[in-house]
Amino acid sequence: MIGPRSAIVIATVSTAFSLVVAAAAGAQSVSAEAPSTLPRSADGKPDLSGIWQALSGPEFDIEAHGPRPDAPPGLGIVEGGSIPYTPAGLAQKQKNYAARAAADPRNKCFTLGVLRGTYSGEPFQIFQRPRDLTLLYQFGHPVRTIHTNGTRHPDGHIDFWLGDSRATWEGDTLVVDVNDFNGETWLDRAGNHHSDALHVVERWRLIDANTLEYRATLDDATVYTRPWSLSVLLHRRREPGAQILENYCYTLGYDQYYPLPPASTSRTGPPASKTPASRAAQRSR
Amino acid sequence: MSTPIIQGCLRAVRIASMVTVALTPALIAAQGSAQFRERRNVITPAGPWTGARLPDGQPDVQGFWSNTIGNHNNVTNPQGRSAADDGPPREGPPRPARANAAPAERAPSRVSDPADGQFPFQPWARAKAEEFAAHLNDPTRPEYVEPFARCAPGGPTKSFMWHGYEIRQFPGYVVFLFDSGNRVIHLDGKPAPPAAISQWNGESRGRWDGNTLVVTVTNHNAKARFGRSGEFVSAAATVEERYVFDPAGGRFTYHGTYTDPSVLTRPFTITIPNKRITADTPVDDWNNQTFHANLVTPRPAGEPPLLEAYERICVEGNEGHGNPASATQP
Amino acid sequence: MTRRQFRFIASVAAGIFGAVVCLAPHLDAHHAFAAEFDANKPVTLVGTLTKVAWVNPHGWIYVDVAGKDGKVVNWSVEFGSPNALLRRGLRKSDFPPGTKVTVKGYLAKSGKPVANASTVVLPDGRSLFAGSSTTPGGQP
Repeated sequence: MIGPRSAIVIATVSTAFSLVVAAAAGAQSVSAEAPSTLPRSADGKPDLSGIWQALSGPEFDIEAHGPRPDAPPGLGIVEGGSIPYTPAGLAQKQKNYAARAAADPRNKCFTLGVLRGTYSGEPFQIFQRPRDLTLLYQFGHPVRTIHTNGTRHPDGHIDFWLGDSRATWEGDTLVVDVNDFNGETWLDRAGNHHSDALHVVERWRLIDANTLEYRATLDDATVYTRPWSLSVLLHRRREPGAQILENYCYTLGYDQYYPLPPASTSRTGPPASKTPASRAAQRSR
Repeated sequence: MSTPIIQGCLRAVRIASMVTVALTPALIAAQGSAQFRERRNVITPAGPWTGARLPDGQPDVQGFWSNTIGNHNNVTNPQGRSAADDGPPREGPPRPARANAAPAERAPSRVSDPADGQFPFQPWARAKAEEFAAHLNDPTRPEYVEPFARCAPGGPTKSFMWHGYEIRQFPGYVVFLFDSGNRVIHLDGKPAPPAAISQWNGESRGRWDGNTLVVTVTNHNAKARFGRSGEFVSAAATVEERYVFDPAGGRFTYHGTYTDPSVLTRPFTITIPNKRITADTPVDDWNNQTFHANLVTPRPAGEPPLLEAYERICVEGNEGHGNPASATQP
Repeated sequence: MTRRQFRFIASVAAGIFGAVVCLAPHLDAHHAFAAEFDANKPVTLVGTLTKVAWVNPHGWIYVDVAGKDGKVVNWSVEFGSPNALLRRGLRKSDFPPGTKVTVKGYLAKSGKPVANASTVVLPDGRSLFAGSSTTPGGQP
């Protein structure tokens, strides 16, 4: 039985230790597990393959914010707290924010882009092989390739929705250089944005077998006064049978007309007894 | 074509690019299409796989591929005339009118079974397909717009009747990347989703059998149809596919068998032959849409270039339906 | 319903459908040419590039064109595939605002200043179409 004085000492030491651990955890990166516990590919690199999903907070607003009619409160994922916009960049952000219900490019199912696609709250799947990583995003189902085969960006600037990604491994961290952006994507639903001058350096790091830390540094002299970074944790989808489903959301405005239009609007159609086709068409909406 | 000088210091660059652009498209396109296209189906027989394998044991069939016959203008006469030839001008300089060559000089119907090469439609379905085809150039109703024109995915079979595409393989997966849409073939036997999930490219579960990838497609919404000639099946159709790869590495044949008693009088099979795109295949902006990657460290002369494709994102009239959530739903 | 009544209703529906999809410039366009553009209304536009939307499979250029009344109207013009231009070493920066262009194409059915281009040519002979004239298999 521990006496009261010993108990106080133990409690004090335990508390101090907890505080030290908590301080370490609250620092920029979460402390990682031992390298030997991480899943690895045949080439020895950490294997990032799997289905990953962020919790939904950053999608609403990557900066700290209180509750809104269209968003829960969030601590934000911007290191340092706020995005260092130029005056013009901030004015555009405010314009986007005011118009967000209608102006969010997500409404048209436009590709969310490299940043927002990572933390949008819908899952994406990473398929990894030695020469590249293939990222398939559920929202809109676009595919991004991160090349790890000793290749460089194409010459000149190209307007891509998902940029051009060339990466190398620094130890167990995948460091990705991304440029060739168009200016069309937003960083969240709050209208945070960038121009086609955006350049991003990402760091992907498994901190344990089921948690992937994503850190991105953005620079864009058209819109930001200096580079800034965001960081978010991605969680592996582990339930049995977990998989990406189709979400070709841009087809939702017209898919009711295929393969056959709804029976009431069709000039001709299957005989009355042949219901599976029309029933199936309606079920597919 | 003589040109006024715009800026002296840019003149040389512009003339060079003018000459390049003027010469290159005609040379590239004519050579490429003539060399890659074939007028008959070269069918790869099923059998053992004797080629390279991936670490997980799969036959290695990764790379860039394209079908050797053509597009989806006319599924039963893929190199013949179609309603699309009578349509208004679409883009680019006008094309020469295409005559309907004799059967021996063009590829057969993509329908390999039944033997007559026709879709075994019930009469009402045949009438419906003909209605769609008749209105291809006059789409006065939404259902007359061929869905590929709207960036919709091509569906399990029609996806192979369009531009060149890419195959990537991973443990447990074969992934097809098309211009519009992609297909993930799950090899690990995970169950298909519930029937309430109904998708443009369906859900694919497959296994390797020698040189053949055998795939069952479920959860298929049938919305992509089969081509500009209007053919379709319903979402009740069952779909079985075989991808038969030549171990020599240059060809494979796709077979897709559809069974649908609500639309058809008997099942049918569509057969689509494909060839591999290599660094020697001329770039024709159709079968071969690759470019040569820049290298960090230049390789010795004689090493083949690495092929890449540009981002495959189709933007064509995205409407207001990105399923944004209401209020606080993620 | 008689065939005549049905045809009338169908043509009204077509007009409404056409108007709905043509209401706004390119973001509502889809590439069913005949639903959007009129093959019987060819147009030639000579003007100055103000913007290029570098999207596939059909990019858009925006062109300031002076009308006969001297008023400048900004036209939206659909052209070919930017990826094809990329493969030929061209970049968006090769078509900067201020570049003069000559467009031959077809008017939008909506009557708005929107056109689908058959050719877009720059004064030095460069074209915004690359290779699509001999696209195999007919239409791309």
